[in-house]
Amino acid sequence: MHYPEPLAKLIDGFQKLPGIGPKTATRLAFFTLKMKEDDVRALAEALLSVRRDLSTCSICHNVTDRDPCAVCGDPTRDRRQICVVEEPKDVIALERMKEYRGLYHVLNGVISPLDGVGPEALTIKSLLDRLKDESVEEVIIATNPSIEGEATAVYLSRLIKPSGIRVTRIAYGIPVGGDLEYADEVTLAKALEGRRDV
Amino acid sequence: MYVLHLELVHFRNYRALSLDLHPGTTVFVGDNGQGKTNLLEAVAVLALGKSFRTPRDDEWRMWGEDRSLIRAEVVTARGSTELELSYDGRTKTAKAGGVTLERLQAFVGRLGVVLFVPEDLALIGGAPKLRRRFFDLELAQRKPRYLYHLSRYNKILLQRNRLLKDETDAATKASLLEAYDPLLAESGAYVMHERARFVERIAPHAEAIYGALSGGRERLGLRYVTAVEPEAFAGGVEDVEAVFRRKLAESRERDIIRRQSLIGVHRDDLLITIDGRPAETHASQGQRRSAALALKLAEAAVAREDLGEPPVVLLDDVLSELDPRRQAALLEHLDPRAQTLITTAALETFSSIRRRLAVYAIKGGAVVPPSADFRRTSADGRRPKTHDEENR
Ligand SMILES: Nc1ncnc2c1ncn2[C@@H]1O[C@H](COP(=O)(O)OP(=O)(O)OP(=O)(O)O)[C@@H](O)[C@H]1O
Ligand SMILES: [Mg+2]
Ligand SMILES: [Zn+2]
Repeated sequence: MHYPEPLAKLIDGFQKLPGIGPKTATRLAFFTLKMKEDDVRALAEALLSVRRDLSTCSICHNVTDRDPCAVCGDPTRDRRQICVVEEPKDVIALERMKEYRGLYHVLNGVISPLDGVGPEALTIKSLLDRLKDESVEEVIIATNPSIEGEATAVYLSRLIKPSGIRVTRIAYGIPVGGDLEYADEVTLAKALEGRRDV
Repeated sequence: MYVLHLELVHFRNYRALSLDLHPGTTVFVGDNGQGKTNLLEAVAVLALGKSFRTPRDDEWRMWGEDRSLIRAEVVTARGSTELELSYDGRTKTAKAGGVTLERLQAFVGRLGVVLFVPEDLALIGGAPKLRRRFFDLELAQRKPRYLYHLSRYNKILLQRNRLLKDETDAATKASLLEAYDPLLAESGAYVMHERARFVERIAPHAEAIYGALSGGRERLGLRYVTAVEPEAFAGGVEDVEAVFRRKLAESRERDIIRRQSLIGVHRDDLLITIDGRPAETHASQGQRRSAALALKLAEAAVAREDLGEPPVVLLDDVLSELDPRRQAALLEHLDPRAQTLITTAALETFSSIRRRLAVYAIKGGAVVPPSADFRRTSADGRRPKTHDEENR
């Protein structure tokens, strides 16, 4: 037996989302059937609006509802610093801290030959173009401490350093509020290495 | 440290075993398939949380039974404690001093063991990979940082090798290698440094033990072979890293042509020589066995320095292939402060040593201590005398 056309379409739609297989998609579709009409409409509109109203900032490549984005367009931000991150969600994490006043650059990934991602797939060229602007004095690389994040950091620093711009890497280590006693030896060692030039 | 009492329930062919052990050397004699290896396996499972024979816990649960259990009273320098590991077909439960532990990892290593099984013979003639595993198992067990750097190294290597195989243009490939190599050098140097130190530490012990086994007539040599020359190890790990980085740069062109990483700790080896000749190609069966044994007993000696007390030494089927003199030399040179459990199908009569050993018989999943029925079941019908009897 086949599902009625609208239901089949919805199941197909859900299946296009990452991490959702046929089973979950079917469950979500049947759940939608039982939802209040207002909730369904709100969800459908939210889905449409992300696609329609959001784009990426032509300067920093963060997701935004206007171009340039709120950060790039804010005249009070410090133009001497650019913080390089992997994904838009990293910008949100850093902004939540309300400490950093510089600009951002979203790479949209990290270099990983195993995943077929080379430097050209990231927004590296656009970053180098931005650095031609003489106001930039420091690039802070805030990629993750994974092998891919680290290799991307080294790759970037080797590209940028000849220009004389300072390149720093954020430090990884003990979470604040975490107990030294419970930090494992490796984390401690990493923390000791601290913030360093790369 | 030693096992004072061992209890097994439904472990392999042991339905229910309750065995008192003493701190010195104990030999278990039995025919093939009676449960000798099974007994040592049980002690090893208690120490390592898993079997050296199989990754599947179901294999050591007695056929047709629900739950398998190993319990031991262990005496350490800090006092005595009860360790227990059970498996019900789904989960392993570990207890120390009657308290259930959340993580098996917190249980592993409470009982220190060094194990020799016939398969370890491959340490001498087999692939270099086995000798690297010999390093890794020992070092990773004692140093979390070693495990961290080893697995980091392997992850970087995977990316680097993939990059070398990719059809990326030469300039990008070169600049990406520039990014991977400092990371590879950092973790690789740490691994090399630790391996070199380990070889340096086991070498004198292994040489002494081998010397004793061969009656002083043959010399064992151990040398760590890696991308970086031995001289670099005189300095710290930073020196090793600097040299390794230079070597990686030198090898880069060849790496690109051959599309693989040609140098690094993934190519390391331990060169074992007897009287200066590679044991791999020149040694006899008995010489190989002696060399493998010497390596393992040296590992025990180093573990003893690290732990502050000797680990339990488990030697499965080591006496076969050794001539009577080597057998006697082995038994004579075992660390008298270490508890050593040896299995063998046949025990030759070397009366001089034998009186220092406890000899148990194993038959059909039962262990018969010397004091009981041993008189009837012992291999040569003789009942071994204990120290006290001897001194009377
Ligand atoms: N899960 C199990 N349940 C019951 N019996 C088992 C189980 N696994 C193995 N056995 C039995 O254990 C016996 C093997 O014991 P073990 O390997 O200890 O022999 P061994 O005394 O070391 O012999 P050898 O001298 O040949 O090395 C086999 O006969 C096998 O039938
Ligand atoms: Mg056996
Ligand atoms: Zn922007």
